[in-house]
Amino acid sequence: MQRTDIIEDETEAQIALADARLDVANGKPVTPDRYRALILSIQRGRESRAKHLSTVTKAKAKATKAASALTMDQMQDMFRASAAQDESN
Amino acid sequence: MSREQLLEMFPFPMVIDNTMREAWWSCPHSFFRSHIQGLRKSQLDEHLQPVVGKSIDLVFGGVLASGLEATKVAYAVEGLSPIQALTKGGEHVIKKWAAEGPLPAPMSRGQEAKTLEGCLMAHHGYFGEWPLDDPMQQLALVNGHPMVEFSGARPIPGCFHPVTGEQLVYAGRFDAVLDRFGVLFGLDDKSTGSYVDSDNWRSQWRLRGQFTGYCWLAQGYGMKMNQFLVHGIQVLKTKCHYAEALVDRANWKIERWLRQLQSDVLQMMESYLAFIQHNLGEVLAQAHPFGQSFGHACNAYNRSCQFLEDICDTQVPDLERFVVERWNPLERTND
Repeated sequence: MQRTDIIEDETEAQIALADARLDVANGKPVTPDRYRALILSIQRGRESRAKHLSTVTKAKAKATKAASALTMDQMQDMFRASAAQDESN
Repeated sequence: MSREQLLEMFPFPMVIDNTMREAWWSCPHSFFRSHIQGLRKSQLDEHLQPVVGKSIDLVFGGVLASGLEATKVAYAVEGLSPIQALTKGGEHVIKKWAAEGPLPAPMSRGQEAKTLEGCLMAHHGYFGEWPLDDPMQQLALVNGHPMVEFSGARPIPGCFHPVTGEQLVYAGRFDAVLDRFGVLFGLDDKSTGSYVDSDNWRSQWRLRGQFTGYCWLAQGYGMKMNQFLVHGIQVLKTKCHYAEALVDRANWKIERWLRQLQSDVLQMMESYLAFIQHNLGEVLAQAHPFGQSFGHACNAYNRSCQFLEDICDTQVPDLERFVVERWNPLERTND
């Protein structure tokens, strides 16, 4: 759901900007209202992107932490396995 | 090669600016290749013609500067309201960006932020931080003309062209001069990908010759200017940060800078005359009068110098990779 919102906001900003570029290229002046709307649209797109990046970063950090954390039982198993290996050598 | 051919291919510049002086200090050989030989690294376009490649950083900085100027002029000269001036500036940014044509792919995260969207937001946010109608941000007027984006030049005392004997001049281009209740402040806008609101960022401007040179130029026009403001704009992918630095340029600092400039120009001329006299070929069998620094300048800002690959790190320089395009400090490049 979150990702869909971001795509929507960013896409809307891209469309607003493309429209403005087309009008400017055709010599059609931008009005202050249109300018405000364009800036707001870009701003929304960027905020959504920032939110998304933050969510992704947090999720990645959580996954990394989960992958690297060993339980006490897992550590004891590792030590036992290592000691058994030493004895057999 | 005859002396006449040498002088034609390697003319000593009539106009010196801060870019040249800094290039001279960081690597005299790079200064020689860029500003005397006039070389610029090129690449082949779709018609296999050599063209100078574009830099995202320079295009972004140029378009943003142009938009800021258009907005300030619209407000101060044309008398538009702040929102009308901002709209006009934004429209100008869109036009200028389109005029630049296709840009190369970004090479870093910093460059990824330098898009048209980023430029529009940096432009808009700038006037949120430093509003057009703020009494502290008003442009100085000289004969009714606002002091925004203009070129200035002034003769360098005691420095004459080594071949023609003509007076050499120093030139610079101001972003703006502000009038804060009768006191003049030079202003320069700097966009960057790095953090701006820090002591480190501010202290880098304390002795920056670029601003001392501007103050000296302003004094040549009868303006007493001993302070300089730097407006820092940090451009990120999702937001921009802004910060201001204020540095002083007491007269003794300006005089000290001028003495150094004179000495530098005289040394440049000495190296130039040695180069002309010895008529060196392209094989660097002996130390070049414009010496190679063999240091940080070869890879400043983690980017290879344009002369590293084909000139300095090769036994016989390959000049085919370059076009001759001389930098003229008095020419406006962002119109």
